[in-house]
Amino acid sequence: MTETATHNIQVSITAIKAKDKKAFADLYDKYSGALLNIILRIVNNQELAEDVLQEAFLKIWRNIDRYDEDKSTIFTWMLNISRNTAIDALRKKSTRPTIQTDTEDVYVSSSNTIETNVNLIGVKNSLKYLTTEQSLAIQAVYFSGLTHDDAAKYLDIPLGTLKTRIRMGLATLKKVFVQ
Amino acid sequence: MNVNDYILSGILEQYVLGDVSPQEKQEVECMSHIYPEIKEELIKVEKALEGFAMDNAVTVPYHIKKNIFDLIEQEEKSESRNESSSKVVPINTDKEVKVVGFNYKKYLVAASVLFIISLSGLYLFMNANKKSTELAMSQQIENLTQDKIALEESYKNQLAALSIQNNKIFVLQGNTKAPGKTMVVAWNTVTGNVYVNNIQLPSTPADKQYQLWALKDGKPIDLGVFDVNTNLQNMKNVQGAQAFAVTLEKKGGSPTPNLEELYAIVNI
Repeated sequence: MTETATHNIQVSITAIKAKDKKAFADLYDKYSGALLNIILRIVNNQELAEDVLQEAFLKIWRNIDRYDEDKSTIFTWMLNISRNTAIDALRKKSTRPTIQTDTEDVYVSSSNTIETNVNLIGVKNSLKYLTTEQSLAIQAVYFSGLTHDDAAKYLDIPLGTLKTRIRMGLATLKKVFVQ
Repeated sequence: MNVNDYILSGILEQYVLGDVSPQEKQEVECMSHIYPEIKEELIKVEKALEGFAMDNAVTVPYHIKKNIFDLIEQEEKSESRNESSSKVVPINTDKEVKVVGFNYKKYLVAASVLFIISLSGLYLFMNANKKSTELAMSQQIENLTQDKIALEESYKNQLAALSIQNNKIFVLQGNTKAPGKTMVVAWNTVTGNVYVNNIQLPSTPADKQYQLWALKDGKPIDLGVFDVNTNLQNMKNVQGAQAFAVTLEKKGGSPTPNLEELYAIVNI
């Protein structure tokens, strides 16, 4: 399936709520690639990311009744589920008992400083319209689910700078993607 | 314009990015419910970020889709199986055959006695454990319920003076500007009378006052100003309100609310 075709898939939420598997397959075809990229940014491991994607879609199927169209778009809702599933998977992985080989590791995995892979590999396309800095700032917060404070620390920039980059980046994204 | 200020404050972006407190989350949902412009902007931010995410989609190996749908099928099958068959499985009868040749009855009796003892031991142990957790939890719930009832009672008592029918009582929760603070608004849906009471909001500078607004069809309606130490103050009447909101304004009030200085909002 070409990229444009994926974008244009029409998804019927009503049908999915009525447990129509064909409609759910449409939802999967449309969004799984975007969600897998975001999950990959968080867990930084292809195999684990695929497991997380699978688990996330099962949760989406089981909980579709709880999705409220008045509160958010379907993508935002699915993204939140995917992001939380990815962060949980990462926590489980980091709490698994392992032999301590590096003293640094001890300080890494407190809940707010989960190591995420904020890099540019997955967002080459967006560099057509965003600056590298804007893209990194939006990824850190939107893809990786870091709070603004943690993202600023992670990228080693002041909070105000982070907010400015996000705002400018979003303004551009609105021009590109919203009429 | 005020709604614009709210949009420009960046709170909607933070909401979509998932970086808001539960209180802020409620506030955004409330505001976007009331103001179509805010709702529209919220969707724009969501769509912009969705576009960004879609533009960076990666290829997903085919077997994942197959796995997901296989698991869904399995779940559906086991669900329908569970519904149709819940037969009791007889305890392993093979044992009897194996011990033939010995005085199997004796062994069976001994085995069943041991089995029953160990079962009852396990049962007692698990039960004791479960009971103590259950007890602790139910006590906590009980305490919380008591607190809640006491709190509700005190609010209701304070408004007993009003004891007119058709009064609706709202407890407004302060947002990040007044975390954990509350105030009460009582509204008679028939007469339109509005009272504020039990105001726990932070004290105001001498040149400022809190102002109460009703929101109706996306328009704010001024219900007058009040001070923190006021008791059961009668505000302006309003009919058909969809939300109540409190902002901090210059002394005497403003013609339109300053949403940057929003302290609390409640949907009706």
